[in-house]
Amino acid sequence: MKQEITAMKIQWLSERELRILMPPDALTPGLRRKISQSDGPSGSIVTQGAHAVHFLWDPRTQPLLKDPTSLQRKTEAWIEALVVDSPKKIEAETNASSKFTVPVRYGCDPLMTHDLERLARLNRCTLEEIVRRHQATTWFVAFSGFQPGFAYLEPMPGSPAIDAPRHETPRAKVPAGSVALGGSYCGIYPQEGPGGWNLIGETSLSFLDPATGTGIWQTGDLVEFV
Amino acid sequence: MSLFEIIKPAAAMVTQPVPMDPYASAVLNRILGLPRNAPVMECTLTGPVLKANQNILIALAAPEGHLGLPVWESIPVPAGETVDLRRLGGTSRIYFAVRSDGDEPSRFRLRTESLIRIKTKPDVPLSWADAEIQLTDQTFRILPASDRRGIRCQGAQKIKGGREIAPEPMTYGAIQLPPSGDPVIVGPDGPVTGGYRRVATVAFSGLRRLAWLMPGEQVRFTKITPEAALNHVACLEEALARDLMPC
Repeated sequence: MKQEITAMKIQWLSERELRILMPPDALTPGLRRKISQSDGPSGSIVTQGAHAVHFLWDPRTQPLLKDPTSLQRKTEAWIEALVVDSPKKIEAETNASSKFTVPVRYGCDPLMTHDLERLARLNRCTLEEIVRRHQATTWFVAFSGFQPGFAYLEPMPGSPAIDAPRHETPRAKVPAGSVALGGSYCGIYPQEGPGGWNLIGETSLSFLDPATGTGIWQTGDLVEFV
Repeated sequence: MSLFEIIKPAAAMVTQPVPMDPYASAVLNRILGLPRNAPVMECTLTGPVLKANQNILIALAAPEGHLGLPVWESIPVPAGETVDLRRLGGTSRIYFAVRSDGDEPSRFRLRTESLIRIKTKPDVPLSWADAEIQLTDQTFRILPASDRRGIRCQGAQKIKGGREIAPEPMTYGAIQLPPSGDPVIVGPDGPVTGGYRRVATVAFSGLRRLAWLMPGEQVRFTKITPEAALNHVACLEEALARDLMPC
């Protein structure tokens, strides 16, 4: 654990924003959930990305920014405490999670067939095998972004891998409800919009809460596709 | 009864939790004697026509000499009169705040001096920039596709080093560099994570400059230290507390 903490890389990205780059695999579902549910250190807004956690302060109200070394130390201590406190076993990590089961119509239009064939070619397998791996994977909500209500779903450790490089030129229009793979992530487009991921299917379930404009899921929740 | 009604609506008028200019709302509220975080209206490219339902005070924020109306001070509007904000006269955005003027009009007639007003077109200050990326040695043009989600810039020279990355947190003022080499400044309605390399951050005191950028306008970036960035914020805060004068 000590090793993990010392492997964090810390960088100021402006007078008001600190980035902590986490070691590979450190951002487990349990730790991500703890981060998302905790008040940020010294009144910061905390945002998670693929490998980093960012802390943003309001320079109008946070005088500690004048002493960045001490603010940095407080922030490191904050995240170290969460690392120590987060469950160590996958089972324990996911106990507190909700689980969503999402029905998908795979390859139901020519764009999706095209992208499924692309993934089959890149992964040297059949189209059916891509679908099988997608369904055999338990995904977890890692962080949000891109569009309101969009969640980046990461495969739980030990899941079958699908290599899904993004399209070099994003499509101008991807329909709402599209289920897509990009890099190692899976996502469901909450609204129609541009997108560079590989479309594999569509779902009629909506995960956008119209009242808040955000997703109905919490960081760390589990998602399975059927 | 509401303070005013909108006779002719504006195309893009919003009450924003995150105004593009974080100081415009604070100054307008100060001028009108309202709480600092009271909501103000932000209009882009054109404003509405308002009719006062009672005696009101209105305060407008815009660069000077565009609107044909006094800016950065309170204007009494008697019940039944209208205020026409349709012609922004070459500024991209205005803010306005309104309060009731009671039976004794012009009680809060205050104006603000110097620092908080937009008088010149200074460079956009960067309080962090990736050492590998050269953003400060050329002028950029603001592209028409800019909005509250992102401000798109184009320079004569494409900047090398832009690439896709695994998504990382973004914030208002972050500058992303896509492979095209044209930087994009993330706006207050931009995504919370972004998939292009982050190459710089606009200093907090420079965000207000972003709010007034017009499509087609030329802009330069300049590098400042984090200490200088914090000093600018302290100066603006001090000005806000002190720099309001009776008319």
